[in-house]
Amino acid sequence: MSAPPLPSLVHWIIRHLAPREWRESITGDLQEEADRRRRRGARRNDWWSVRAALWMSVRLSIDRRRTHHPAPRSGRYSAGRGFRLDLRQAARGLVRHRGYALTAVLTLAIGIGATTSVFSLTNGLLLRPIAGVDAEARLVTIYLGGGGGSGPMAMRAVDEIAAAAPALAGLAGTGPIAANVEVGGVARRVNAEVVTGNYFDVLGRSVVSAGRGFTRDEGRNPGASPVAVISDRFRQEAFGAASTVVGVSITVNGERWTVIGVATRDFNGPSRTTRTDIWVPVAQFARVLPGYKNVLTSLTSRVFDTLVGRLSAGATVGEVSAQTEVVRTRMSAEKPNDFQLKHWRFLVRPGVVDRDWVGSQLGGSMMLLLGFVVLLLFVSCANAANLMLMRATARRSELGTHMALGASRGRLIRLLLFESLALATAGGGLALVLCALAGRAIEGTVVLQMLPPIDRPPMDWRVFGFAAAVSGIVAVVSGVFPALTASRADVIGALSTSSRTHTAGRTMARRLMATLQVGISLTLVVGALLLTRSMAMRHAIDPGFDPSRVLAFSVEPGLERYDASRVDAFYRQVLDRVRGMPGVRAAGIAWLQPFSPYAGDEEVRAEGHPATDNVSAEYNVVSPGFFDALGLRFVEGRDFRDAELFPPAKVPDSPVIISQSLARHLFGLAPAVGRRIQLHDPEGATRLIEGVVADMRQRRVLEPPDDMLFEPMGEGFAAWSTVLVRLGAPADVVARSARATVAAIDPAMPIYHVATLDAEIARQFSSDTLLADLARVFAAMATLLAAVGVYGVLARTVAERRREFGIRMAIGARPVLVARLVTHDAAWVVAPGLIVGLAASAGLARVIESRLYHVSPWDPFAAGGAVGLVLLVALAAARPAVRRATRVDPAEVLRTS
Amino acid sequence: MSSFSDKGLLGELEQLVLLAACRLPDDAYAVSIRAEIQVRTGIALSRSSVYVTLDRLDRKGYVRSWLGDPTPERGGKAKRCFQVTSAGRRALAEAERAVARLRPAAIQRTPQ
Repeated sequence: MSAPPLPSLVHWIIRHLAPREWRESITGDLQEEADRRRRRGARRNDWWSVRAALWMSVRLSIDRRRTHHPAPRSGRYSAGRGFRLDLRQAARGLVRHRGYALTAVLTLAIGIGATTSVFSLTNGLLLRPIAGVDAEARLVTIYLGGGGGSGPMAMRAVDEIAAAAPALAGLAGTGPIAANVEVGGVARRVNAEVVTGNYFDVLGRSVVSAGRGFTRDEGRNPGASPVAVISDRFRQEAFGAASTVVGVSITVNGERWTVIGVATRDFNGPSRTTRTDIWVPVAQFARVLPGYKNVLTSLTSRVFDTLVGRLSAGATVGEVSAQTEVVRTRMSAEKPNDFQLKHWRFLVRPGVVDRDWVGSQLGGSMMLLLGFVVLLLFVSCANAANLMLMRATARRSELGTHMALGASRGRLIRLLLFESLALATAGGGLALVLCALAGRAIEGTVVLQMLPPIDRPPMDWRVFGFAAAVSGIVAVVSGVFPALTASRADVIGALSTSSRTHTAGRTMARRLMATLQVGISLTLVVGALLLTRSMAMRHAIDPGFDPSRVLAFSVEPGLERYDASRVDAFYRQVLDRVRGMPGVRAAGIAWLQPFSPYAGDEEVRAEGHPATDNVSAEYNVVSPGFFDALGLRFVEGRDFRDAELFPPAKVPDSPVIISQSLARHLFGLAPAVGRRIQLHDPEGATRLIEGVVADMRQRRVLEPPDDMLFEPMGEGFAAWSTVLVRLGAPADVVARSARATVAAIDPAMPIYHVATLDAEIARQFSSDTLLADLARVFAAMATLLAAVGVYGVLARTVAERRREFGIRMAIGARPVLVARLVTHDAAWVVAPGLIVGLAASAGLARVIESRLYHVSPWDPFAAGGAVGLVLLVALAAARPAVRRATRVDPAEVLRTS
Repeated sequence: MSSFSDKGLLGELEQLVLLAACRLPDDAYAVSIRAEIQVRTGIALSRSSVYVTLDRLDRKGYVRSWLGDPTPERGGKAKRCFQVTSAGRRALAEAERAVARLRPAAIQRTPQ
C-alpha cells in the first residue's frame, strides 16, 4: 500500500528550516506517523504535518543556534527585545565612558551650533523672504538714478510708468519719512513710509493681517479722512500686546489719523532690514509733511524713493527696463531742464529694495564668517572622527569578546550605530541650545550703521539639518566601520590584551586629522588676531575729542509745524534748560552731529583769491557751547556768542569758526582770526573768521580729520538738529532728564537717536566688530577642539607604546628620555599643522586685507602670537600624555606582556 | 565529575530520552523513542522536544547516530538511528548518583 505523500509545503519547510542532517529522517518520520494517524482515522493530516514539520524544524534550528551562541539571542528571533537590549547597552557604554561621550557631544554641538547660527544670521539679514509678501521673486524695484546717485520720483512718474509698462501687473511707490507719533500722551519718533494706495495690493494681500489696506480713494483723494496702517511691533509697543487698534485715533506730526490696519508680524517694509512702523497714503502726504505742493500731479514734487512693481506673467526685468525708458524720454521732453530726468534712467532691479545695498555692505563680512564657520565645522567633524576612531580602536577587545561569545556582525553594527546616533542626537540637541543662546546674544546688535538693531535671527532649520546630517554621518562612519574592521581582523588578536597589533593606517589617519585640526585652528587664530588688532587700531583713533563723555540726542521740531520763529525759540529754550540740568558740564546744538551719515559740503577760499583756489570743507551749523561740549580746544580766537545766534538774515561778515587744518589750507601758518573768507554759495558772500578750533573727525572715524567750517545757527535754520552734552553724570541719567526737559517744553516732541558718541563710533565699525568678535569665538573653539585632537592622538600613542616605554625604562632609560620620545611624537603631529596653518593663514590674510585698518596682513604680531598660542595649547594638550608615559611601571609592563 | 565540568548535568528530558534509547538497542529513532517514553511513563513529550534533545545529545557525544536504509512505508526516506555511547551511559549514572546523594532519607523512603 502506498501512502499519500506529504504536502509539498512540509517538504519546503523542512528543506529550508531544518538542519541539514535531520532533513531526511524528519521527513520519513512524519510520513510514517501521518500514515499511522490516517489508519487510526484522524482527519486534517495535512494541517497536522505542516504544523509538526514547522515546529520541529524551527525548534531544532533554534536550539542549535542557542547552544552554539549561548549569550545573545539572534535578531531574527526577537527583534524588539534585541533592539531594546542594544539600546540599553549603548547607553550603558556611553555612561561608562562619560568623558569620551561628553567630549564627542560637545565637539559635535560646537560644529553644528556655530554653523547653524551663522547661516541663520546671514539668512536673516540677506536671504530670508519678507513676511507677508507674495512671490517675492516676481517683484522688481525701480529707482531713478545713474552714475552712483539716485533721486526721488513723483507720483506722476508712478502713474505714467504704470500706464506705459504692460510688463508690470502693479506698481506702487514708497518713500521714507520721519514721524512723531503720539499715543496716550507719549510721543514716539518712528520711521514712516508714504505709499501709493495700491502698495499693500502690489506686495501681497496678506501683508495687512488685521483691518485693511488703503482704498483707491484714500490713495488719490487729498480730502479723504486721514488713515494709516501701523506695524505689529508698533501696535505692541504703543498699545500693549493684546490690544486691537483698528479704528483708534493716533496723532501723527500733530494731526489726528485713524488706524485702519495692522501689518502682519515681522513685516517692516519691503526689506529685511528696515524698521518702518507706520504707512500713510500719498494723497494725504501734505498733512504729515507740509510744504509739498501738488503731490499727485506735479512732476517735481518727488516723494517716492523707490517704486516696487510686480511683473506680469511671463514679463522680464529687461522688458520693464525698456518700457520705463520710453516714459523717461517723454517726461524729459516735458521738462527739458530737469537734470535727473535728462541724465538718469529708471534702474530696474529684480527683488526688493535694499538687498543690493545691505548685500554690498555686509556680504563680504558674512561670507568671511561663513568661511570661518565652515572651517570650524570641519575641525569639529575631524575631531569627532578622531574621537570615534580612538574609541573604536580602544574597544577592539570588547567587540572581540562579543564576537567570541557569538554576537553576530549585525548585532555589533547595531550597537555601534546606536552609540554613534546617540552621540549625534545629543550633539544636535546641545547645538539647538547653543543656537538659542547665540541668537539671544546677537539680538539687538547693530550690524550696520543706518540699520536698526537686528531682531533675534530666526533659526534656519535646513542648515541645522545639513550640519547635523554631516556630523551624524561623520560620527556613524567613523564610529561603526573602523570598529567593525578592527573586530573582524582577528578575534584572537583582539582578545589578547596587548595592543601590539594596531593597524598603522588608522594611526596615520588619526594623526593626519589632528595635524589638520592644528592647521585650521592656527589659520582661524591668525585671522582673529588680525581682525582684533585692526579693531584695536580703530578704537585707538583720536577723533579730536573724548567721545565717551559726550551724549547726543536729536529733535525734529520741523515735524510739529513750527514756524521759523517758533523753531528758534524752541532751540533757545532747549539750550537754556539742558545747560541747567544736573550732570551737564556743557551743551550745544549742531545741525550735524559728529559721525552723522549726512554731510554738508561748502567750497571756500580766502578773500581776494580766485575761485580756482577753492577748498572743499565740511560745513556744519552750531550753537555756542558746541565746542565745549565736544571738548575741542580753540587754537585762536573764541566761540560764538549767544547774541550771534539766529541773526535775522545772512549779512556780510557774519562770523564763522574754522578748523585748524582749514586755516592751514587757506592761510598757511599765518593767523586766521580777523581774516575773511568767501563762500562759493551764495557766490561771493564773505564771512569773518572769529575762531580756529583743533581738528576733529566729522564724517568717518577712519578718515583723517576733515577741513571744517562752522556757522552759527541762523533763523529757522534746521527742521532737525542734535543736542550735544558734555557729561558730568552717567549717560542714562542725563538722557532721562533730557527727555523730560524736552517734553516739558513740548509734550508732543520726542527726542530720538540718544547715544554717546563712542556708541556712534562703534556703530560705524559694527559689522567689523561683529566679525572680529565671532572670529575670536570661532578661533577659540577651533583651538580647543584641536587641543582635544592632539591630546587624543598622543594618549593613544602612549597607550600603544606602553610596552616599549616599559622595556626601555627596564633597561635603564630615564623618564626624561621617554618624555622626549613622546614630545618628539607630539612635534610630528603639531609642527606640520603649524606649517600648513601658516600657509593657509597667508591666504586668509589676503582675503581679509581690505578690512584691516593700519594692520598689515603679514603682521608679525598676529602670526607670531597665533603660532605661540596654538603651540602653547598643543603643549598643554600633550602634557598629560607625556606624564603618563614617564609613569609607566616597567615591572608591571614586563609582567603583563 | 568529569562529565559535569564541561557539559553540565543531564537534564530530565535528556535522561528520559537516553534511558528510552537504552531500552531500544536495535530500533532507536525519534518516533520509537517517543512512543517508548509514552508507553512506559505516560509522559507525552512533544515531537520537537524529542528531536531537539536527540540533536543535543548527539552533539554532546552521548549518543551516536547514523542513517538507516530507506523504506517504502516512509516514502523512501531513511530513519536516523541512535545508539547510546559509553559516555552517555556514564552521564546517566552520574546524574542518578548526584540525585541519589542529595535525596533526603524521608523522600527515599516514600513509597511510589
